Amino acid sequence: MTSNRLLNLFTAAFLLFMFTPLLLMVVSSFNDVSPPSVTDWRGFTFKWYEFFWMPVEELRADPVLRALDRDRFIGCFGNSLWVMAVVVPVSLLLGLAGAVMLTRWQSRANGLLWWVLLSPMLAPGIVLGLSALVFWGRMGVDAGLFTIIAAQVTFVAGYPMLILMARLQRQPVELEEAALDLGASPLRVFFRITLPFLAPALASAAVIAGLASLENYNTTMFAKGGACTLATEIGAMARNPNGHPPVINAVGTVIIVLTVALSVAHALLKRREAA
Amino acid sequence: MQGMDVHLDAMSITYPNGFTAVHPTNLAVKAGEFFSILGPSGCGKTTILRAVSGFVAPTSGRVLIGGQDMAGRGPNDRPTALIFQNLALFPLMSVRDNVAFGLEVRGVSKRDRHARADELLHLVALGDQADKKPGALSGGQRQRVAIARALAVEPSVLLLDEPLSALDLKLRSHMRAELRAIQKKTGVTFIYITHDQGEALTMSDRVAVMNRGRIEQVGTGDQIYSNPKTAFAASFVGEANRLEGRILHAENGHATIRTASGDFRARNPSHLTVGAEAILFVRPEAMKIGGGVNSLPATLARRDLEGAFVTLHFRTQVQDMSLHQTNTGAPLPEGEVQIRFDVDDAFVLGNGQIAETGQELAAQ
Repeated sequence: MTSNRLLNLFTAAFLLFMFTPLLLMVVSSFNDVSPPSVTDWRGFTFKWYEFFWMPVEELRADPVLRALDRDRFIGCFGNSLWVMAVVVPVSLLLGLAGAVMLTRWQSRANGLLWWVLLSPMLAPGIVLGLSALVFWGRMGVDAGLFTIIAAQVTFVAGYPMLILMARLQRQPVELEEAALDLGASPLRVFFRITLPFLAPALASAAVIAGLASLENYNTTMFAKGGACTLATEIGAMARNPNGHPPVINAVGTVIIVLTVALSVAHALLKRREAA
Repeated sequence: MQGMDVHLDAMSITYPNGFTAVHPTNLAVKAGEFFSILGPSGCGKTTILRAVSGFVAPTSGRVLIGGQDMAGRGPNDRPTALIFQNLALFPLMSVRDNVAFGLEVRGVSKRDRHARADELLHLVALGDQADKKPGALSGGQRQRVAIARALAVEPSVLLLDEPLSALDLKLRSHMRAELRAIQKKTGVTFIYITHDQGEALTMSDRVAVMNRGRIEQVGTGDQIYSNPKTAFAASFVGEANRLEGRILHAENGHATIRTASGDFRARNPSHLTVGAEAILFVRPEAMKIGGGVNSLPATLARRDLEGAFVTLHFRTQVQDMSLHQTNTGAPLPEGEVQIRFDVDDAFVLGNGQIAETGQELAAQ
């Protein structure tokens, strides 16, 4: 067997290992049986998707779906979107500030600052969640959406910072100096020269920060108090001793579709950025 | 546009890491002058430029433009415009918007600034390229856009940081002529930084030779080439044969120097006294074949064709010496011959730092 064929085999095995569970999850989300299964095929159905909008009478009539709290689930999802809507812009601002400082403000402390600013990304999520909980608890703020946002921002901001730093390092500092030299105020230089140059990187940083916020489980779990997000709610449902309802598979399928769509959009943006 | 004078008043610059890029320096650039600062990389010339444009603050001393102290005034508040080595054209803006940028930040209306930009682009013969992005232009065209962009803000002092170094030879000599013409036409003071002595000598009214953070000599190109004041200036500007030794006699502006190749007489412009360690410099074009005063035996090692002239490389007992001859197709000297130079074509200077590879460095 040549090394090339061995490599192909390994790649195939790897892809199989990675995608089979996802494929099974997608298939079982269309199977009319709970807990989800692909071996025990009871007929094709959309009802695990329709759960989110079907009339209440229909919901009550279904033996599986009647046990689920639809309003709570949708509420948690709404929380996720709300958290993301705050985390993304705040992370972009913080990441941008960090990136500009580390690339433009030449200081001997930069090496240290880089580690300090990125350490939340490397720290265990549990630690971040707990520390947010403890800190804000001492400050008299009850755990909830606010603490979720505070905890998520600490590590999500690292992604935009890294992406924007990479972009800023590719922009010659002379462009900003030239604009300054031609009479522009520093603020004007930033908005007229630096920001347009960063626009594609900002867009991809927003996508990545959004995904990081939406899918985060461990940090959110510890910081959430009585609140919930999509990720924590799915986690709660998955711990059902009788097996989780296929509704989760349906949600997972939708998330996969969205993630792929966003990744494609991101790749396209990247390509435009490179051009 | 009106040129302004630039004065450095005992200005020095030491970077936070302790490196002194510019030792206390006095310099007076006249209004409307084409002034070059010539020196090898790392000699501090770019730092001087950045201090005049306001990107670096002097550690001590002052920068005065048009008689006004520039302390506390940033690059966006000085009557200067800087042309960067990499030109720093804004890649996302059209050529017209690039040129109009300085007017845009001054609040000039879109119509007026575009009209002015088109006028300037016309001046640099780029009238038909206004809608393109800088990336779509050739090196020489980008160069001219940078000039137009700098002129748009009607600076009193235009600072140029080796702007021609990225161009090929032919374009470079064309742009030299063009820069000179633009300078004459506008009357703006040009301060031009370069390590290329050819650029400095051809374009400038006056040249400052700089080395290791100090200006060694200021003068016209002719003065610096014919009467360099330091060993560094003599070796960095133009080619020169060097004979090291010690002063044997000195009188009336002339001196005799004893070297390993023998005793030679030459001008003694810096009045070196007997016993001083010195170097005798003689330009290759001042060397002749023949015996007499100031001659030494030599054999031809190599002939390099330069076009209009040839360089003959001779081997003497001690060292190699070169000689320029007009390319007349004359037969080459064979065997051991005498090479010589006139007393007044050579000069002795105190031993000091020599530009390491003068010509080669300049050719980079």
